[in-house]
Amino acid sequence: MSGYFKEIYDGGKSLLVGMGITFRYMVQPVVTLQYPHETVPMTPRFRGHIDLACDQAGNHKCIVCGTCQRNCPSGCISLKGEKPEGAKKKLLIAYQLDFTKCSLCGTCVESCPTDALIFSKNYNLAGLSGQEFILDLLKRQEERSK
Amino acid sequence: MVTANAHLPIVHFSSLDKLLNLGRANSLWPLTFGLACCAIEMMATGVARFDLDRFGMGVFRPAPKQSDVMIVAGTISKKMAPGIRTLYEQMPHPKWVIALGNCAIAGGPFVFAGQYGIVEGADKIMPVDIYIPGCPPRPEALVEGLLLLEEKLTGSRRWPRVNPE
Ligand code: SF4
Ligand code: SF4
Repeated sequence: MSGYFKEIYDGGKSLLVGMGITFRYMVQPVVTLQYPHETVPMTPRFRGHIDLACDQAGNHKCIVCGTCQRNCPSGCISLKGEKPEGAKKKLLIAYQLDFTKCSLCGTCVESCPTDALIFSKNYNLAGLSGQEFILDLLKRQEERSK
Repeated sequence: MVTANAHLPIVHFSSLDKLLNLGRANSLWPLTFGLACCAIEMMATGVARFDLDRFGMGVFRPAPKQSDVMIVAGTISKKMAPGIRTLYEQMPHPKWVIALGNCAIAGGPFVFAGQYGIVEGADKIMPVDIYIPGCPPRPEALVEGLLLLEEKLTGSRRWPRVNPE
């Protein structure tokens, strides 16, 4: 019989301890981020998909050396440059990132000799097809510099 | 690629369907299983900080019979694929699939010439409704994906849009 009452006592005690913890959390400040209504800024080292950086004049800094394309372990980057008639340097005409294979390793950003690449802060992408994430970075850069 | 809606309902009720879809969109119960690192972000989305229960989506079910949406969170190995396919078939209609992370979208970093162990995207083995890229995606992205699914079901969005830039 004594075991019966001991079980009731132990059960009641553990219930009260549990309720105490629940009560403590109830009166503590709310931790939930009300996401679509509230957002937090991304930290400086947050890695979104890569993007072409803008310099002060609003141009990209890519010299079409192709280092990023060669170094990407997943082959996500495909770029194309063209030498206009009489010009010395190649000009970037297309820069495509297949974000669906990227592992955000950062090799492209680190290896770029002119620091033309940065990680974007685009953290809430979602879409109805995988094709939406094959991104045209040159177009994105032009839109941003406007 | 597997085409969607192989098991569409035979009888349609236009207005009732809209009402039902509104209910479905706000009580999407996900099937609990994680395949790789993206599952950690899925767990992070479920708990207090981002709290999926705000959208009626926090009821992670351990049985396919009770769930509406499958979140494929991670890399699908060839060995795992038949199991996932079985779980998908066991879910009752209507059902939706979310591919969370680059591995579930297209195989991610595991795709290279001669690879033999990975299914290159969840849409190779079942129809996928929502694609969420990232390696791994942030919890906000998963919330965004679920809101997009809600939008797909009801045809309108009742939450504000967030522009990250
Ligand atoms: S490494 Fe930098 S400069 Fe070279 S092609 Fe890539 S982005 Fe352009
Ligand atoms: S972060 Fe890595 S995987 Fe992604 S594009 Fe750059 S080099 Fe390729």
